[in-house]
Amino acid sequence: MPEPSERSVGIGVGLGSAVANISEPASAMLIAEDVFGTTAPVEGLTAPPARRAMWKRLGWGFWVAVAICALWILAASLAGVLPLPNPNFAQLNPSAPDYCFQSLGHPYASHLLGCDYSGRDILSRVVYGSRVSLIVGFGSIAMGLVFGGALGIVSGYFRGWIDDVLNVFANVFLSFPSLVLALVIVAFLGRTQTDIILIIAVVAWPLLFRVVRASTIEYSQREYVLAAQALGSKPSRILRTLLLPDVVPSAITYGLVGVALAVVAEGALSFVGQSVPSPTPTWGNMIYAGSQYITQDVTLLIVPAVAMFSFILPINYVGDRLRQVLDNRQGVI
Amino acid sequence: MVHLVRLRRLLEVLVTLFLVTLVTYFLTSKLPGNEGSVICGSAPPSCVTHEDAILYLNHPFFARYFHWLGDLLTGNLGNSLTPPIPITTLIKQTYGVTLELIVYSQVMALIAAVPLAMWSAVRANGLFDKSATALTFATLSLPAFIVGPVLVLLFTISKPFSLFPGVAHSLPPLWSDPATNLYVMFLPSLTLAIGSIAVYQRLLRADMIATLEEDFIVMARAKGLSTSRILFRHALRPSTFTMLTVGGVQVGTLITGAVIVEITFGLTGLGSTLIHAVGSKDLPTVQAITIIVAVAFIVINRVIDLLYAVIDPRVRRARAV
Repeated sequence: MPEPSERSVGIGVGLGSAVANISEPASAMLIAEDVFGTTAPVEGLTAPPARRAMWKRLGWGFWVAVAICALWILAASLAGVLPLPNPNFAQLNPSAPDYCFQSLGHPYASHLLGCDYSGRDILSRVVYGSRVSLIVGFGSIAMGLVFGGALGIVSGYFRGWIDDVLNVFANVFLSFPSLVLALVIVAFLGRTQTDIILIIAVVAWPLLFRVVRASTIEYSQREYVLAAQALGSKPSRILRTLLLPDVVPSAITYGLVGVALAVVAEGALSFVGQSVPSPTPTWGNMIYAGSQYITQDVTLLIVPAVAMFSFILPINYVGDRLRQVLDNRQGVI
Repeated sequence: MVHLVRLRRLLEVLVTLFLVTLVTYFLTSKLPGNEGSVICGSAPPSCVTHEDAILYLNHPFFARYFHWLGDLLTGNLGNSLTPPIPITTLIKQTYGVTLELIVYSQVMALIAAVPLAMWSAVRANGLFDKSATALTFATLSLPAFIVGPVLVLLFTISKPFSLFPGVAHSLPPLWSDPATNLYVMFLPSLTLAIGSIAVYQRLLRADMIATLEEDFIVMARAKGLSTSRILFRHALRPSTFTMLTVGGVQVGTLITGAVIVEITFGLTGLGSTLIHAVGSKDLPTVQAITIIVAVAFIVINRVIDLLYAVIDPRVRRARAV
């Protein structure tokens, strides 16, 4: 009987990194496990009805994290409606009521967090900055999931030469450190927001491909898939109706961690001055500017840094908790 | 059978390497800034066509690619555009800083992560374990471009703790003045190490908890060995398996981090040279650095694959069959 082989899939986009152990149990092992009823029935005995258990098992921390993420999404989408001054406007007339300058000290009645080195409202820039980060974060991962996921499910189900070719293809992209690849494509494509979404999707798809491929391999050896094959279902039907619903939860879970990594990747590009060009505020270019003015005013660094951390941490936590609860496989990070 | 597997792996690596050069060349040969015009600046158009001819720019894509690949394989990387010096010289001047940064940070990360992980594993789910796990989870959400400036703020600028030299302090070579060099490189390396500490602590802790439940550990306890001896001599080696694998994948993250750290601390390494080259559309330099970094990454991962045999005797025996 073949032993289940342990394979490690590392995810490292940008500067954060997430790693998970993904096992590919051989079919014999799985069936044996199911026959002896070692996994599912035992859990069924001890766990209360599935839906309530799920809510409870996620814990209150999870819901706090969801709320914080939701707040950021709300802030980013409502930035235009909120009572915030124009993020790129600098009042240069000293007698105007909203005149405010970084070198003049804090606080100001009309500017909650003060202004930056050229007199622009910091709070407004942080909120508008979240737009770029969030749009790029969710947009690029959504693209990566569609592309990488489609290839992954095909690769994992058909195996054979398609799998080999797609794996080599993915490995080529994984052979570049993420920021280096992103920089090269920035030079190739350009730096508009759409370009950046595309670039981070190109960097991220191999990881999502691997995740979806691994879970497809696992599920395609289950009995109901074998039964469908024996009944003569077309592969396209099996992929669509049986495997797709199975792999979506883990794909979304990894996708959430991916969003955090994509936000970091966008931040890294902004930090080195290769993301959406100024004066558009992004968390990354604000942090870079803050690090340049560090001896004069710490708020310029701290505010965008805290903003970014307060989005990445909760979304990482949400992804991590969901994986722990949804995935019975062992995920280490 | 084993030979076949090895042959297949070697073939895969070669195909990957070939495709990596192709992708790099494809992406960088289409840079919006034309090489000829970057060199010539405002010089007359005849200069541009002359430079283009020298750089093979008027040939079809694959002709240019194989010409470039041939040059690459014979170690001729050409000249950078601004300033026009051989890229090999440029790389020789800069790779040391990046390499030192990565090695230094990994030494730091292991020194910190191994004891942390051991103590967490010994008292799994205890107070120390829980706080260490929470702390490492938080640091995983802190990218280097936040950690770097904050460390600069805390340890070079704020008065009571200004223990380290500030940004862009001159860096003496490691071999002539190791003490000053390591002192100047401390904060940059620490910036890079913080993320690794978190990754290693989590992986080693998980594997360590599993190892500590094995029979041979029970046996060692029964023999009356001290806890530290059990941990370091018996439990550590079999627990490092996942950490080593991930260490290989981490190299990519570390190179990315090194780029950021070099920019943050004003160090002249491969990363800051790459950023400079992308900024000034210096295409040959971008190509060269990207290729070198990618090849180094692939080779390191292969070497780590081979290192399994050293760490785990079971793998050695399996390969010997």
